[in-house]
Amino acid sequence: MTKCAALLARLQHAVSGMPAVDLALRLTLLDLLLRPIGGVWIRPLLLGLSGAGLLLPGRHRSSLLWLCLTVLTGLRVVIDWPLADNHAYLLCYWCLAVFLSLIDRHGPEACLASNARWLIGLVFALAVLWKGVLAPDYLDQTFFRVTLLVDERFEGLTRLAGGVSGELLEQSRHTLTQHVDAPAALHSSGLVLSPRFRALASFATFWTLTTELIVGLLFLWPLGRRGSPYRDAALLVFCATTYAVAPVEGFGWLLIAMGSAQSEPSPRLRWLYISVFLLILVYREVPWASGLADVLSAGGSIAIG
Amino acid sequence: MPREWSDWLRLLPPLCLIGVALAQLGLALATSLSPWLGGGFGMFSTTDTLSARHLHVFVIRAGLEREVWPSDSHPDLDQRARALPSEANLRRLARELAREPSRDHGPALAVSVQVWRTRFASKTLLPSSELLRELEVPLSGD
Repeated sequence: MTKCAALLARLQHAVSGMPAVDLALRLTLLDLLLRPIGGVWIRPLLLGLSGAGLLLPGRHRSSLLWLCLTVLTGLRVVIDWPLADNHAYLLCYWCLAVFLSLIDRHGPEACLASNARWLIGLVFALAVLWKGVLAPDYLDQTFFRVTLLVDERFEGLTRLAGGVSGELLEQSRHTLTQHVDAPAALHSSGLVLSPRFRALASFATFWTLTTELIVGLLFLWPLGRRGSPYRDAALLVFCATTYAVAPVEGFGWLLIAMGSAQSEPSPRLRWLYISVFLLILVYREVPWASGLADVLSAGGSIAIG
Repeated sequence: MPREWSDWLRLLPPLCLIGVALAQLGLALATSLSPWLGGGFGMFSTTDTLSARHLHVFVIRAGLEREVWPSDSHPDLDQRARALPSEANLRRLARELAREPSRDHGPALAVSVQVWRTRFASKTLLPSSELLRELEVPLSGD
């Protein structure tokens, strides 16, 4: 018990005294290890470099390491273009930002914090632009209605909060994924959605858009060079809620790493960033929504027309 | 405003992000690149995903049009054509498919590639397909 308390005290001391840059770099390397990317050649190289950066003392601050990571993550985007997901692009920009900050003559802190703010702000601004302006089927809730039914990764949430049974979910998937190469399908009248399921899709639509808008505005708002607790709070709430159900933990970990780079030098904030990073890991490993849905045995509430 | 080149260098990552995002936006509007792809951060904004797009490809010979399925023989080209149905991507796919051995007699004269996407009615979610792009690639002289 005493040993455990001593270990916790040492951990507390190490994290509290850790510069924001070190925390951000370590969390990024952990992201690369926990959610490896790339094909048969790039993946082992990225894993090896990330592991070495974490395990070898002081190597996480090696500019050569981050130059190699920038080249490898960039190669992955180029080789796979246009098939790589957006996480791959952001990871490459962030590795480049880390490299540039490590060779900056004024030290890495200000350069990395400024890049973190710009990158997070721009990513969220673009996400809002697509959802709120460019996409034809987001604001009318079609996107979430279809995704919650078709995307198997959301099955737990759809059953738990939407009240849709597994059997009806299967039937809905069958209806929605068929190819109907005609102006309109004549053989079916579509799905009759229950009020509970509509409410879930509506909440998901507007919660996502609102939180993304707030994070984007706060990170792009010119509040001066110092970090703002509002920015940290908004980003942490976004990550803690979104990645509880959205199956893209690599993106969440990257946002946490970037957010920690621009945060105030406060031990409490540092622990909050680490806690949400671990929370996303728990979300990935524990299918809590499916488990709860199984326990509660939600009934069906969609009819096939 | 940045004054020295080193100040601009520090801003290189966000400038790259803006440049790629503008290119992605242009390609999405001009050549129907899927909003989910290409680095424009349009993920989770539309049902127009890669899996909601499909191809119909016909190899045309004298007096015969036979449908072929590129997802089996050329999965990578199939994915790229669905993600970004540009003329270059559709031509590349058509040429590769024309080289495939066939039980039909005579040389392939052309390959017709159609890219379809699924749309959903907002109230009933009734799916219907919409032709996104079509290209007939003549093979004589290629």
